[in-house]
Amino acid sequence: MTHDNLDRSLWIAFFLIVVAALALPFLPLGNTAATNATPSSRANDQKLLREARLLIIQKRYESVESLMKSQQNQQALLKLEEIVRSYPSDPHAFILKGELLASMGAPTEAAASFAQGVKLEGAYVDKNSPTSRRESISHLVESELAKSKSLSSGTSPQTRLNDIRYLQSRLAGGCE
Amino acid sequence: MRKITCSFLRHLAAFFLLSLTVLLCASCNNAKEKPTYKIGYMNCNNTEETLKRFLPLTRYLSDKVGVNFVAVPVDTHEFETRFKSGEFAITHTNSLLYVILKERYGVDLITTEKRGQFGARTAGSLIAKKGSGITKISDLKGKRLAFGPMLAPTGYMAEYDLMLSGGINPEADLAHYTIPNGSHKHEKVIYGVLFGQYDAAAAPVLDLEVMTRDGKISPDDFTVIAQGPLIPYCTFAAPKGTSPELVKKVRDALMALKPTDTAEVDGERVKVMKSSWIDGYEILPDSEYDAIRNMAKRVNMPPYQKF
Repeated sequence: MTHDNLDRSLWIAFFLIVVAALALPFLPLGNTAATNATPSSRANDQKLLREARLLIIQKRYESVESLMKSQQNQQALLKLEEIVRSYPSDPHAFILKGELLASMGAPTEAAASFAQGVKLEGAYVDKNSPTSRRESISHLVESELAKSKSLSSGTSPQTRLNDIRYLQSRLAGGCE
Repeated sequence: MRKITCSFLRHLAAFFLLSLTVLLCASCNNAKEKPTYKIGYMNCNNTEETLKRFLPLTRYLSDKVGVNFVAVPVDTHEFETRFKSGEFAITHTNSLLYVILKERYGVDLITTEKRGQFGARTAGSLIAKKGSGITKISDLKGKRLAFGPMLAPTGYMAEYDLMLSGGINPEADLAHYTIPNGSHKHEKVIYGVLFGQYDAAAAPVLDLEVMTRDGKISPDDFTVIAQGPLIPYCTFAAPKGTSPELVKKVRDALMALKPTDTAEVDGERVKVMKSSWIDGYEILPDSEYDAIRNMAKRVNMPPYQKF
């Protein structure tokens, strides 16, 4: 098994590593509080992530939001289109686009955009989420459902309501 | 053994004769000519681009409907004349040309094309270079403006209407207005504003959207002064003489079109929607086109033009 000093020293090193690994959980490392506080540190991490996400959203879409505030909706929509080139799957872009399209008289397209955003991030229909857009989504769903009752057959097909029905179920607490 | 062989050979011969008859009948059916119909496609920029865009869609329709459709690119200003001669079974035009054909010849609406952020609808807008001091319609007084083609609902008519409603008479209040020569007029007027050739331009929002998405322009470089209402986009229609059955089949095929559908063009399988720049189709009621009719009346354009 052992042939020379090198072999012996390698075996000794291996044995010490195994012993150290086995003894590790029993050693007082002075940070037992940290291990006990794992859930709260996770919560902290998540909180930090949420805050970071909010900051990113604020910074990324600042120009769009300011154009929306000054009622320059078409300009805002184009600015959004430009941002989406760099971040094609950011759910917030879909949500903003939904709000813009709804205010510009394109409810079907707005619903499709809202649905895409909510599918990517459910927090947008969550009442308590800092990124919640529940109010604007609810408003669109209610007005479109009311309109759908007076739809004339053979013109606007019922498939147009698919996104509205999906959003309605998500608002009611249904999941993906 | 000999009897069995003879019987077997007789049955084999009968089988081959029967097979031959079935094959001949099948080839007779194939040989029967499919009826041929022409679809007149209004040129957007030029013949070459129109054919490249709509050939896959035409092949798809031929496959789905079971007839032989032929794509015919037609210049906008020749469209009505050629339509009158009864050349087309189906028409594909911009929404203003549809209104003209509806008013004068009673064409039937088949479907409206979906493309861009507003789906089956689109709009016209007035733009100026950022920092030019032009921020509202009244600022256009005494300025140089470029329009798109004269029969373009969102490149001419909508913007003319916007100016009239904003108190600017394009014939009297602008320094001058122009329509660029050649094809790609919508892009030309947008670039014309960005490079200072014109102070303002009539820009379809769809072109602004596509050019932004392609990275050709940045919304930071220009200002949207005003935007018209959303009106229907390009439209498929059928003359009165086209059979209702054919119209229904075409409508169903267009409504069933999916992003994964392909057609064979020049020995190559291409995605129909992608190559035709289409997001789908929607069935709109004819009343959706009333906004165009009202605009055309206000702007004194066909089919309501008064001299």
